[in-house]
Amino acid sequence: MKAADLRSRRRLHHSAFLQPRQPAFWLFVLIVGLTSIVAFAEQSFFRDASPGGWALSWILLALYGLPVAVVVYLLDLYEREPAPLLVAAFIWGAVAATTLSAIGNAGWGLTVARLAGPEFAARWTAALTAPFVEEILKGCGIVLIYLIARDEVDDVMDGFVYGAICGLGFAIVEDVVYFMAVFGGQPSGVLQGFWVRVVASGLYGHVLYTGLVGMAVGIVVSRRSTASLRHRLWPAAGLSALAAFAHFLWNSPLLSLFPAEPWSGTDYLFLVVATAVKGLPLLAFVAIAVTLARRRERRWLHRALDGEVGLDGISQAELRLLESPRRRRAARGEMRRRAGTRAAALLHRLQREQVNLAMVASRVAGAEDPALTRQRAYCASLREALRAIPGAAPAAGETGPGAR
Amino acid sequence: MAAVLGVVCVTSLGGFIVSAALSEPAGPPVSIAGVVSVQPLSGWEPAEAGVVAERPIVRITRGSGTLAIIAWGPVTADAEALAGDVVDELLRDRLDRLTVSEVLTAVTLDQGLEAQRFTFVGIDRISGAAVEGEVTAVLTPGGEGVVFFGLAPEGSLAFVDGDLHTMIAAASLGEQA
Repeated sequence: MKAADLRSRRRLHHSAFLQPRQPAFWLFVLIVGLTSIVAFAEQSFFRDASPGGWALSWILLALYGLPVAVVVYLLDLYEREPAPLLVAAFIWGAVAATTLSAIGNAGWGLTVARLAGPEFAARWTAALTAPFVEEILKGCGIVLIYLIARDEVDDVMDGFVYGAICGLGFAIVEDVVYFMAVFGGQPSGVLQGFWVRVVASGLYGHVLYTGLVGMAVGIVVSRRSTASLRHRLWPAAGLSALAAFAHFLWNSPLLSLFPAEPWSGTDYLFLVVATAVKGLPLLAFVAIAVTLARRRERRWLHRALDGEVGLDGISQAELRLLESPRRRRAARGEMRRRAGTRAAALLHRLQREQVNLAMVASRVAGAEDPALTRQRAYCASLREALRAIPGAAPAAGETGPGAR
Repeated sequence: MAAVLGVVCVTSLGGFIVSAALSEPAGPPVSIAGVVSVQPLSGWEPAEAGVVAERPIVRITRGSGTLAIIAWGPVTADAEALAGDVVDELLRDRLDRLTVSEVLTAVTLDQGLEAQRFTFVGIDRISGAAVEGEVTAVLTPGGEGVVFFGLAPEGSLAFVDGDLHTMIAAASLGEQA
């Protein structure tokens, strides 16, 4: 394959984070760089204050964060987001958004106290400031990532993935701060904090809020060809407002069934119920929204590749496999048993390039566009390479062009 | 991109600008008779008064930020020595992992008195919470020591120190209190 082809393929589907020509990249770097000074100083303080508690906090939160990150990553059915951009989203949430939110919450908290008095502020400041300050600042990170790599946020689901990962970064650092500063920082306090903030309520927080904000960004930036600005802004505003409202409800004294402190015995079980009352409705809503977004992705894939079936890039049988992640995995497993891991890896690559074929087909003007022709040829060459592996060739008529 | 930068700035810093515009004296002054009197700003309110290390203390609070004022009693030396006594007699008793700023900063209050100021961080021995604070030590014209403690959770003092400095600078000390 020519170098130019490789470059165009990379541009097509795996935008790099390091894009010095993009002003948004430098703004991202500047803000993360400045805020990281404060963030690292804070973590150093916690580490010095209680080394054991601090290390335990990060270990426990890694046990929580890694599976959540994997699940979020895998939610995107066809076009998994590039790792460098996901890392950037995580860092924005963990470093920039947390630090800026601490400043913003304090400033707007002062305003609430001045306007409504300290007693009201003590009960309501967290509900009246954090939902807006934090969701806006996390959302700014998603917008910057879009501005750095515009091609990567091309669907509502992409927005959800970037948003949820950004929210996960925020949640983890915020939890460390709570474990160390609110729950005392000693291992026993850290374990208590882990139960309250992760076991009892880890499903409901920033991952969901910012996932919704990310969906809103995805709607605005990805449906330009099919919907007017007004028709994109309304649902985006609705999702953002829902995220802020859910965050408000969580932070407010409303629907608060938490047992009085100090907690003991069954109080810890009741905490799970109390957090579910506030968080479960949002979790259900997000589950429905993600399911709809995944169906939309599936429809998009089918539409994009329908005209390609029978040409060099994809067959009817391959499209049927491609549309279902479960069938794709099963086909790779079957290939591994039949022809070994190299063949399975090659099939995986073919499937990925066929998704790329869908992306090219949905972006070019005509069926004879050179980029589309190149991508078809690339898929065909992968298929030929696969068939050349002993045991990998499919039964007659099973796959390959012409098998409409 | 400029819009993103603008939104980040307004969201992060706008609250301080708005709150500064709304800042004004509010409520009755908090006093230790004949020694010190402080006028709370809007958003601050008097909290529990009491005794600390056998010395009278009054407090003004705003959620996570607190201004505690202690009448230290007669001091024969100067404000610098008083600042040292505060560390030895009060902070070391109450905070673990105490770190105190190395330099004392001289500040002049509105009444013309010169005070000495330093900052500290540590872990509260009772609650286990990480706190940071700022001490302003000053002598009244009659030689009474007055110590202003600005206190906040670790990392949060900077968000209230503007109000703290305003209230401390405007404090009435000695017979004016």
